[in-house]
Amino acid sequence: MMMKTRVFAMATLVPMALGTAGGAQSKPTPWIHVHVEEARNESKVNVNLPFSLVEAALAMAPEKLGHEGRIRLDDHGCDLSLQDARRLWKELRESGQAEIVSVEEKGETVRVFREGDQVRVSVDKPQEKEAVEIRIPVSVVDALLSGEGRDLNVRGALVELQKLRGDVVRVDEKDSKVRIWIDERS
Amino acid sequence: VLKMAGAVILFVPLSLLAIVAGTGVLVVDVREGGPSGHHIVLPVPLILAEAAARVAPHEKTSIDLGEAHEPLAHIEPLIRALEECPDGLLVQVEEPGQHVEISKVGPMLQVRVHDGGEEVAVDLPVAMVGDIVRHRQWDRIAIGDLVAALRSARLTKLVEVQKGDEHVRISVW
Repeated sequence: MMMKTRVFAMATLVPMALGTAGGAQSKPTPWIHVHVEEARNESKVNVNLPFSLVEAALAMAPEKLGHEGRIRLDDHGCDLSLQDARRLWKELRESGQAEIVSVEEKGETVRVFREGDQVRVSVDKPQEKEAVEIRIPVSVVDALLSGEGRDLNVRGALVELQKLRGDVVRVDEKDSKVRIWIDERS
Repeated sequence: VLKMAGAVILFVPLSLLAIVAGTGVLVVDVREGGPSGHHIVLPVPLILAEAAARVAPHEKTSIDLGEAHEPLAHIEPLIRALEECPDGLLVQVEEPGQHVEISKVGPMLQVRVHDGGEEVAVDLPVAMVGDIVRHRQWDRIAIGDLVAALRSARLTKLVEVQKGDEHVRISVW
């Protein structure tokens, strides 16, 4: 009976202990990767940074970021004020409109649209074999515009961005390629 | 009595040697002109270098950080994050004839540069960089504090440069 109890206790506790350890280990660290390739210069640049490092780097520029990682936008020279941008974003968000902007001219198509919980920007120039794809989660834009007055909440946007996995920006041009993506690998 | 005297005579240099070895030695190793050329090895006991730097006037044994002191004032969280972040290749730049890699490997920040015929390897203990930043005095850093920080880089090859027949290595033992 005693033996059975011990075996049962071992069989229950060991996997629990391993599970806890595994759980602690499995906490993923999101990394942001930037890959830039320029065919003309035969150059390649790869930057891989864990978000913890990006957040710490943000703290290094307090005069640029202001209090708690917020950027203060100067209204001078800016056609759209931050308050207008907030109001526009709120209206778009509430309308649930899929197509936000669509421009077609001279072999170039620019689309800003909402797909699921993401805002996507797509620029396509088939004749020049150039394409730009940007996808930003709605929650990132929400967080970015959650500041007050003329402040952009960059730190808040960064926290939301960490939840994204996969491509964020993809630029394919004749001479250069840019890819920014987030995953859990260094 | 002779045995006693011999023991005392041996004890003094051995103790000094133990102190020097225990507190670290910076070794600069320079080779020029290939195997038959000059070979200079300069061991610098850290304790002596630090003492000399501390005794001399502060103005003469400190480095003016200039405009660098401004970003340095905010760099501590970045160093802490770097210490705690997982290992990996952080930056890689490839151009014709040039290759640069910056990686985090355990407690080290490793920089590897291949530039034509020149190879440079720098291994910086992140904790050492933190020590240096913490001990700066506003816009100046004392050489004594720099030397003291080298103690956290024991058994490290800090810099190695190979260019043709020239080879320079700076290590801390």
